[in-house]
This record gives sequence, C-alpha cells and structure tokens, in this order.
Amino acid sequence: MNPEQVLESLNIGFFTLKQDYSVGYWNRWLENNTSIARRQIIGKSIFQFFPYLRRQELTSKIESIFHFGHYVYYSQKIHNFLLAINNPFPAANGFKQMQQNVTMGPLRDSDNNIKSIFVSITDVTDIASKEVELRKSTGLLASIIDDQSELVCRFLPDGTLTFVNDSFCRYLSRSRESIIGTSAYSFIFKRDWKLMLKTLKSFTPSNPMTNVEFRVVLDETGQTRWQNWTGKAFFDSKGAVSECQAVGRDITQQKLADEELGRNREALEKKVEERAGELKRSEAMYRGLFNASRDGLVIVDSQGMIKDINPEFLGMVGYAGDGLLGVAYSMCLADGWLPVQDKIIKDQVIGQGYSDIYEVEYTRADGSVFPASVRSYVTSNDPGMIMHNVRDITAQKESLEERARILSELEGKVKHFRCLYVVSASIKMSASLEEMFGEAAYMLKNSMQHPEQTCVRISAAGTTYSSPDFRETPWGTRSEILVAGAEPGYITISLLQEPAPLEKAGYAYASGTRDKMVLPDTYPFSREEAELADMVAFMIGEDIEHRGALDALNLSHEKLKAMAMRLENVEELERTRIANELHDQIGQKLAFLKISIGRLKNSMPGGPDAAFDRVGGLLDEIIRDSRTLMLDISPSVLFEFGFMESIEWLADQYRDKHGMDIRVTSALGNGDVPVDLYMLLFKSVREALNNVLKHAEATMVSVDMRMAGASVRVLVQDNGRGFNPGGSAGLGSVMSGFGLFNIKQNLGQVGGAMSIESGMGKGTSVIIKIPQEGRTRGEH
Amino acid sequence: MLSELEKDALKEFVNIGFGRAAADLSALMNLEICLVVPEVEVLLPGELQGYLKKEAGAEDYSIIQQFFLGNFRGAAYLLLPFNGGKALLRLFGSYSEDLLTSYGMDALERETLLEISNILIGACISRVADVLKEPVSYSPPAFYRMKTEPFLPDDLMGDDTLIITIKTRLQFREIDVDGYMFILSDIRTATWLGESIRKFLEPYK
Repeated sequence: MNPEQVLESLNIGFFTLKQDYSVGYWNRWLENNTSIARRQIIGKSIFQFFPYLRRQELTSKIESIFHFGHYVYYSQKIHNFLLAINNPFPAANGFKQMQQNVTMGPLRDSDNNIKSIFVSITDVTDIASKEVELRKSTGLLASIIDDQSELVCRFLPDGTLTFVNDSFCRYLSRSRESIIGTSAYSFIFKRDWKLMLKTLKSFTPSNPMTNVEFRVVLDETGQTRWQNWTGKAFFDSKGAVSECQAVGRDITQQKLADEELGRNREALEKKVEERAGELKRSEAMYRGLFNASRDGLVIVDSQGMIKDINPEFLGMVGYAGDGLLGVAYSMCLADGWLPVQDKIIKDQVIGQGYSDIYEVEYTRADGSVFPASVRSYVTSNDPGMIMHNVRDITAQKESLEERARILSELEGKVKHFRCLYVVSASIKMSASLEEMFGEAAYMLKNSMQHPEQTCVRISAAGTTYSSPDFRETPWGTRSEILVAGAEPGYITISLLQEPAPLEKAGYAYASGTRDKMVLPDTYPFSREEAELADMVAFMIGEDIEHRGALDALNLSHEKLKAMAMRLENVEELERTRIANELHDQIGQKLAFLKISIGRLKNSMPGGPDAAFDRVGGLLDEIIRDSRTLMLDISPSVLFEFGFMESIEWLADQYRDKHGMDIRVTSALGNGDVPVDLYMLLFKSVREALNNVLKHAEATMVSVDMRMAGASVRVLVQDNGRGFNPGGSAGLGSVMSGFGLFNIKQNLGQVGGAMSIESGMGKGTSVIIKIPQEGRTRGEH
Repeated sequence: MLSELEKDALKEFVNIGFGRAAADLSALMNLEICLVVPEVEVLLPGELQGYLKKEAGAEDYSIIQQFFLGNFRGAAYLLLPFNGGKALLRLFGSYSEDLLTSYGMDALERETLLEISNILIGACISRVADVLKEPVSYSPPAFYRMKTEPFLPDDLMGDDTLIITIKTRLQFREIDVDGYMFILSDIRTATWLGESIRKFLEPYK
C-alpha cells in the first residue's frame, strides 16, 4: 500500500517541513483549500506563502519537535487556525477563516533522526461553529441557569461537581472555582451520604430522574439546611451514568414549617382527640341530663319540627317512644298558643338567646289540656334550634286557685275574728253597753262583703245603738240577743242597695240547671256573715247576763264582808267578855288566895314552910296560866300595858312555848301606832310568827317595828328555808292559809298592806304596813 | 525487578534527561523551569494510590495524561494545582478578551495546560529516551481535573503491572506554581529498563 495514497485521500491537510521550514510534502487537500499547487510550494519556505507563520510562538514549538521529538498540538480554541484558508460559508457558521486543529510531530529517518516534521490540519470549522452555538446556547442556558433562584449543578457519578450556577455559589458562599472539581459529598450532611449514594445507584436509563431531599452543611455558619433536589442522569453508550444534572432548592423553612406543622398537627390531633373525648363525655352527660331532667325538654328546629325530646315531656303529653320525633311541634300546643309562643321567641329568644318564663297550654295525646310554664333557649350548637324547658303547672295552678280561695276565705275569717276580738275586748274592758254596742256595730259593718252598702243596729237590755246610715230595707238579716230572764234584743244588718245580680254574685247553679241558682237562706248575706252576726249577738247576750251576775256577786260579797266583820266583832266581844270574866272572877280570886296563904305562912312561924312554898308556887303557875289563857282569848287586855309590851310578851310566849329565838326591835315613838290598830298589828305579827313556826324551820326570827314614811312598818324576818315565790309551793300556797289571808284582807280594809318576800334557802320576810293618817295614836 | 544500583542509575538517567529538558525548554521556549531531582520508586498497583496520596496529597489538581510508546513506554502525568493553569496563561502570553469571552477561563486554562504539558512531558520523556537511546512516540494529551485518587487507567493496573514511579517537582520561576510529574511504566518496560541499564553499566563493572 502506498502511504501517499492514504495521505491524498484523507480529508485533512498534510504537509511536511524541513528544519529550514521548506515544504517537503503538500497534499491534495491543501491544494484544494489553499489554492496553492504542490508544485508551487514544495521546496519553498512556508513563510513565503504564509508569512504570518513566522512568529516565535510557533517557531519555538516547531523547533522543540526537532529537538525533543514530541508532538505539538495546536488547538483551534486558542489559535483558530494555522494556515489562513477562507471559509466558503462564512454566513453559515460565522467564521471568515477555516477553523483548524493542528498536530505537529517528528518524522524520523532510518537512523531515527528527526529530519523533518509533519503538520496535520483538520477542518473543525463546523465543529467550532457548533461549539460557538453551543457556547451561546450554553451561555444563554448558563445565564438562564445562573439567573435561576434555584440551585443548579452537574456532577460526575462519584459526586465531583463539574458545574454550579451562581445561586449555588451564593448558597454556599463560595466561588465557582472553589466548588468545581470538589465532591458534592463535602457539603452534604454525613448522615445523608447513604441516601445520596442510594439515589445515584437508582439511576437507570429507564429511570433517569429522581427526587431526593437531604441536608447540607453550610461552611460559613456550620448550620444544617434541608434541600430538595431533582436529578437527571445522563448515560454513556454502555448505559452507565456519565454525568448527572440536578436542580435543587432550599426547603429548610418548609421542613421546619413541616416539622412545626407536624408537631402542631400532633398537638392538634391530641387536642382534637381530647376534645372529642370531652365532647363524647359532654354529650353523654348532656344526654343523661337531658333524659333525666325533671322538666320536659323539647328541641324544635327552624321548621317547627321536633328534633329531640326527653322522657319527661313525652310523659307530660302522654306519648311514648319516638312517636313525636319529626312531628310538628305545634301539635303539642293547645289551640291559640302557637302565635303566643312564636311572638315570645321572636321578641326575646332570637335577640337575647333565651326568654323569660311564660305560660302556655299543651294538649295531651288524649286531648286534655294542661297548663305549663316554659322557658325557651337558643341551643348553643345550632342557632336555628330552639329548646323549650317545660314544666307542668297543673297542680301548681290548682294549688294557686285553692290558695286564692283559701286566702279569700281566710281574709273573711280574719275579718270575722277581728270583729269578734274587738267585741270581746270591748266586753273585757267593761265598757258601757252603748260603747260596746257601737264597737260591735262598727266591726260588723266592716266585716260584711260590702261594708259601704251595709248598716247595723244593735238593741238589747234597754240600750240601742244604730250606725249613722242605718235604715231598715228588704235586704237584711237579724240575729237574736238572748238574755236570761229578760226580753231578747236584736242585731239587725241591712243592705242599703238592692243586691248585685245573682250571676255576678258568684253563686253556683243548681246541679243540672242553668237558671236556678243555689242560694243560702241568709241571702243576700253569706252564711259566714250571718253566723258572725249570730256570734256577736250571743256574746252581747252573755255579756249582759255576766254584767247582771257580777252585780249580784258584788252585792253578796259586800254582804259577806259585813257579816264577817260582824262575826269577828262578835267573837272579839265574846273573847273580851270571857277574858274579863277570867280576870275579874278567877284571876282576882287566885290573887286573893295567894295573899291569904302568905298571911297564913307568916302566922305560923316555924310551921311547914315547904308546904306553904309549894302551895304558893302552884298558885303562881295558876295565875300565870290563867293570864296566858286570858291573853290568848283576848290579847286586848295587854294593850293596857302598851303595844310594845304586848309584842314583847308575844315574843316571850313563843320563846317559852316553842323555843324560838325571837329578837324584837323597835324604833317607834310614842303615839306612832294608832290605838285602833293595836289588835290588828298584834294579830298580824302573831300570824306571821305562827307561819314561821309552821313552815320556816328557822332558828332565829326578828321583829322590827318602825315608821316608814307615814306608815307603821312591821318586819317579821326569819332565817328559815324560805320558798320560791313563783313555784308551786310559793306565795299562793303560803297565803292559802286562812290566817294570813284574813290578816291581809283586814289590812286592806284599813288601807294597809302585807307583803312577803322569800327565796329558797334565804329565809322569809313579812312586811306589814299600815298608814297612820287619820288614826288615833296611842302610847306604847 | 530493579536493584538499588539499577534504580540509582535510572534516577540518574532521568535526572540527566530532565536537566537537558529544562535547559532546552529554557532555550527554546524561554520557559524558566526547575525540575527537582527525581525520585524513583517501584510499586505494585495497589500501592500506587497510597503513594500518590502521600506524595501529592489530597489536593485538587489539573492533571494532564499522555501516553508514550516504544520500548520505553508508559504514561506521564503532569499535576498542576487547581487553577494553576490560569497563572500559566500569563506565562505563555496574553490571550485576547475575545478568547476569554468565547471560551471562558476554564477552557483556556485547559487548552493552555494541554499545550504546555505536551511540551514539558515531551521534553522530559524524550531526553530520558535519548539517554536510553530509545525512540518514543506519543498519544495526544488528555486533561483531567480531579483529586489524585481515581485517575489512573485500568490497563496500567493489571495484575502483571509493576509500576515505576519517577517523581519530580516542577518549579516555574516566574510564577508561583509548583507541580508534579509522574511517569508510570509497566513490567515490560521495567524489564527492558533493567536490561538497558545493566547493559549500560556493564562496561563500568
């Protein structure tokens, strides 16, 4: 094979140069493209045809080939061309000259010496043009990519970055030059390397794209950021990944937001769960309360249909089960009440969410009607729904009516009782008959149903009283005043006007009729009014009888007092007579006997003295005893010796007879005690001492007499057991004995008084007072 | 495979070759470059990754790979620090704004690195080959931008691969750029190298 044929047929320029730069070979391609025939240039200096080649930069390279025997590569990118050959299609590809890649190398002879070099020229105009276009589009693309806010990069399968856009550089705060050639792994978070490797391994020709999220570490701050990358792999002819391109964006904020959202979602779900649980519990509690409520509850929607109802309401209206659900609520209301309730709902419930309590009537399943008090609400969970809280007030209503009736009755009775009370009080106050009749007439008039139309007259026991407007009319009632042993009197009550029509009077119709009223026989007054008049008449009759009995009693009492006084006087006179008899008859004779015995003794000196002494002693005792007897019968004889001495004598008697320790003191002056009161005072003291003896169980008694103002005061005080004046064995029982009672009565007769003071364990004091005014004072 | 003496000899060969390359580059290209005395290691494939990581670190590099063919065969790798190519643009003349606009800095940097590394690798390999008196040919260079770890081709990593690493350091005087060059050869090259070196040393024994 002829190598020259090969060189001639190649679509490249090929020439040789000797060390003197003369052309040794010039192939056909060069002939065609330079229009320089080989015969023109061979043996000539290349610089003759291409003078611009004579430059040191090229000649030194050519020299080095001769010297070192190596190759020199003349790149189009730097040099554009070696030989200036016009581009036949400049418009098409933008180059005026053919763009050339040139290779120069040694040609050795058989001795291995380098005698000449070859120069090989390849037309790369089209390639260069394409490269320019590519660069343009790449540049455009790059600028587009660079202008992207997203991160764009390309990298080799081992992660080495071959391209990054401006955003990428800004993101990492590094220059492009410092990034290109480094490994992407250098800024990927180490824990995400596996993910990156796995992603790269996942690329296949059938699956060239993927999306992955991983973290990066920013050099400057060391902070970790999240990124989302969409990558595409490019494959070589063997199907292996040759390069990857990826577009990414920072999703840190989104991740944080997602995490926050996740946390919030978890918290929210938890809250929702809790809330749902609470709602369930609340619902269960509500349902329980709803069903267990003692009030009827019914929920009505905006269409007026019953949505919910509790057993209590069902019971009220006489339905069972779910019979009323979905039914019109108006069916439950009695006729005419729906508009009333609707108005209340519109005026109150819609505006303020609830209504005041109001009354309506409902209809039961059996058609009966019952009254109910209702409060209506807007339900909190659905504004269109209204809940009615219903309470059956039938019993309450009946109770109210009954109460009203009872109240009315009671008012009537109160009036009557007041009337009776006033009449009774009037009687008690011992008012005159006329005054009492006046009070009774007034009260009767005002106790009638129509006081302003009523007049009263009372006539009995010769006394008559009429109310100022009294006149007899056909419409009246009469009550008889009965008095034993006397002509009856009357209470007449009349209506001044014709009574109201029967219907308006409220009387009931007779059973089975519509025109026959059932009238009391006391018409036009009620039975109660007539009974009241009867009672007042009875009271008046009783009072008149009582007044007569009282007068008679007072008369008897006076008579009895007079008889008692006379009897006492008679008794006293008799006593005095007996005492005088004893004194005069027996006492004097005993005294004479004693004298005679004395004389006898003296006449018989040396006689039986002892016998005379014994007889004398006996006589003394007889005289003393008879004196005591006299005093007991009629102490008035003592008064001849003085009042004080009589009290002293009395005290001696009690000392001697009963062993009482009695101390008598007196601050009375002469004449302080009236003579006519001696006996009374003496008897009073004696009676007081008797009581001490009987009841007091005292060891000491004192009797003190002095003036207390204008009264003589005698105080008899003991240290006995005392008594409780308010108890059952108190003053009343002490005074129940006739002696003290009689003394008190007698003291009262003369204007005096006796009082007793005592306390349990504190002894007793009897205080006697008699005024001395107008009395004859005596000496004592 | 290679004894210590043979390793040292190879090191010298490379040193000489690199020295000549540096001088030639300076003269021809007006490129002031210093190639540090190379280090030669013989490694198994499994040790290479660790070796590279240890030697070149875990930095990001622009890597130019170029295969060379002949008895002395293998792959040469020029490692320049990331963005170091931009500095080299200044070194190799100003490029027009049009170029920058049209292709962007990355493209220009890549093309520039390809051109420069081609020269650098060619210079170094050629001179080593000259010392070994073996011609070499080259494949077009390839550009990578990556960490040192995964860039080695599979056909160099077979079970029968024995890797000779020749590491030098490039220091561009005029600009503050330091890079690495690795030359990796397989066992056949190692065998041939061993024989060539032994032959070379024979007269001196």
